Amino acid sequence: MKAISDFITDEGSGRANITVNTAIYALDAIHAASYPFIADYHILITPDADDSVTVVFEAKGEGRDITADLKEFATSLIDQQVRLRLDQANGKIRDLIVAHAFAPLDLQKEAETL
Amino acid sequence: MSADRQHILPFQFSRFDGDDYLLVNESGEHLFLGGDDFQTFIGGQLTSASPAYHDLKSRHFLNTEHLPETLELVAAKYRSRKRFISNFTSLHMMVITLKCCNDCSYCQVSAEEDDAKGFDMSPEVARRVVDYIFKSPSPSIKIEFQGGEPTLNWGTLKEAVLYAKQVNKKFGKHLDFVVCTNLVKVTEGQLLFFKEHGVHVSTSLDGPRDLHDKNRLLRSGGGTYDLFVKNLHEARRILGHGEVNALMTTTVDNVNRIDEVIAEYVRLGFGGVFLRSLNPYGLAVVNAEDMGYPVELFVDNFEKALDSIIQLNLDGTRFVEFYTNLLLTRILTPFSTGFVDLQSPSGAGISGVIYDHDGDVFPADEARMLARMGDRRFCLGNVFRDSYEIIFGGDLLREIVAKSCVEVMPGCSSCVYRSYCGADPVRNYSETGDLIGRRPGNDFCKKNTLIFNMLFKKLKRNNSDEMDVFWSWISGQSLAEVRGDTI
Repeated sequence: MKAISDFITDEGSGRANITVNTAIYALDAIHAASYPFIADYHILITPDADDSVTVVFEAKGEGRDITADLKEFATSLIDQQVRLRLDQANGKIRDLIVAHAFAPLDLQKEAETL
Repeated sequence: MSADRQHILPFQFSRFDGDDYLLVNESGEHLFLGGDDFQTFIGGQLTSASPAYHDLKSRHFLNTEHLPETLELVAAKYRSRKRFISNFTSLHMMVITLKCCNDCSYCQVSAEEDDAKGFDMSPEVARRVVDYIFKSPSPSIKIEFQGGEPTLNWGTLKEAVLYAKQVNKKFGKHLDFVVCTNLVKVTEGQLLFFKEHGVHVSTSLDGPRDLHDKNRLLRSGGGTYDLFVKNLHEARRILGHGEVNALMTTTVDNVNRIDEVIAEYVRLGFGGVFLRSLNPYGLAVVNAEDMGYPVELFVDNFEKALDSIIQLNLDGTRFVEFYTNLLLTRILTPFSTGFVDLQSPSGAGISGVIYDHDGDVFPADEARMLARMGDRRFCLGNVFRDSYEIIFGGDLLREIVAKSCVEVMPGCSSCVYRSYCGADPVRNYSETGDLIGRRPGNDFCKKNTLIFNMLFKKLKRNNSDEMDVFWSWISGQSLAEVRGDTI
């Protein structure tokens, strides 16, 4: 059975990377999952030869548990992918709500297009 | 039981308190779901046999029929929450003078000596500012006199009040005045003028004598506590008890003694406190090493203080923590709450604006402070040089609005709290050089996230005592009325 650590390469000295399959996770989700970590890490997302990217984490200071942070990143990836999927499904509804709030639309007609 | 034709309506979510999820939608409704229910829901497989199904439907996370009518309802709630946008600028702050008799160590405005020259607003500037204020389409206008210590330029303050009342005869707007004063040199004659013209007083109190006098010092030397208390009683005698409110500033000196601050507020008869952290401007930046503290420490003590305040209410003393009240009103009601520091788009310029003593216009006091420190990035114009349309409809204010919508800001757009939160583009700029800024590592974001986490834990716990106190604050009713204990 595989473990998350199988996809993490810890290079020591506060540097590690994780490989993410872009057929499963969209780049937007990878970016969004990386964003909360930019206070503590320099982060680079770089393409690999196959359908994957490597996300490189380099700690800005000492005292971080980089393996724990990368596992948190992996969890965050799932949440971000769900958000993207939901947004694809109901993003137009969100736009309708905001538009109708400020400039009323014909919602009967708009709903037929959903 | 089969699943109906389901539309999952837009919402934000976050893992919360273990394996559960917190969901918040566009109309500000929230819901806690267990992990299994959440997965079933987002998979479109939730059926009416599940209790969560009915909660999700009733709070507009899930729709199975009459979609246009549901969207109408959600849009109406969304419109209500964003009502501050259509009202436009209602809070107009006038810097009557930069002179101050105090020399507070955290002063945000870097006030000048109380006999300094060239820092007073002239009556001519004040009248011009008032003319611009009444160009605002807002039906409600609040003019707040700030300083320095505004009572030190009494002639202009008086002229501004009288002229505004005269101009308002033409417009018939709801007009309010507030003077922000340290009360140290206020006279009986000035208080009688405030009484005659309905000017409310907002003052500052940092806690009991030793805490107050640690940072709020006279330029001539010594603390201000005794003068403050004496003049507080005098102001209340003339204006009425409820017409004087106070704000506290949390520094390293009182952050671990907030219970004593609350006790002092109660002792002096205030009806509540706004537990306010230090802002990174003015002398607070210069003295940051001596006065600052970690955000986590502030929120930890904020929670302890909130628990004490809740107990105080349960023991029979009505006392409100105003920031909690504001956030809970956003979370538990569909109403718009005016608080320019936490709005999306930011209230800077479109809800509140500040006119400097020379007629320069800034979207926020912090922007004016940046200008005092040499950076005029946020100067919207000047009431003598620029038209109202240039100042309030120009590129700069449009940029501030466009770059302060949390709905599209990185890190905010997917945040579960974004329906209740806001942006501070001036602070972002001062910290990063960019109006959008960076949320990770940002104290503004950290503080508000931690406070929202703490409040939502309380809401999830749903303790009846806590909830009764919260509802008494939100509704303005007594605890007994909320509990149905009155005849």
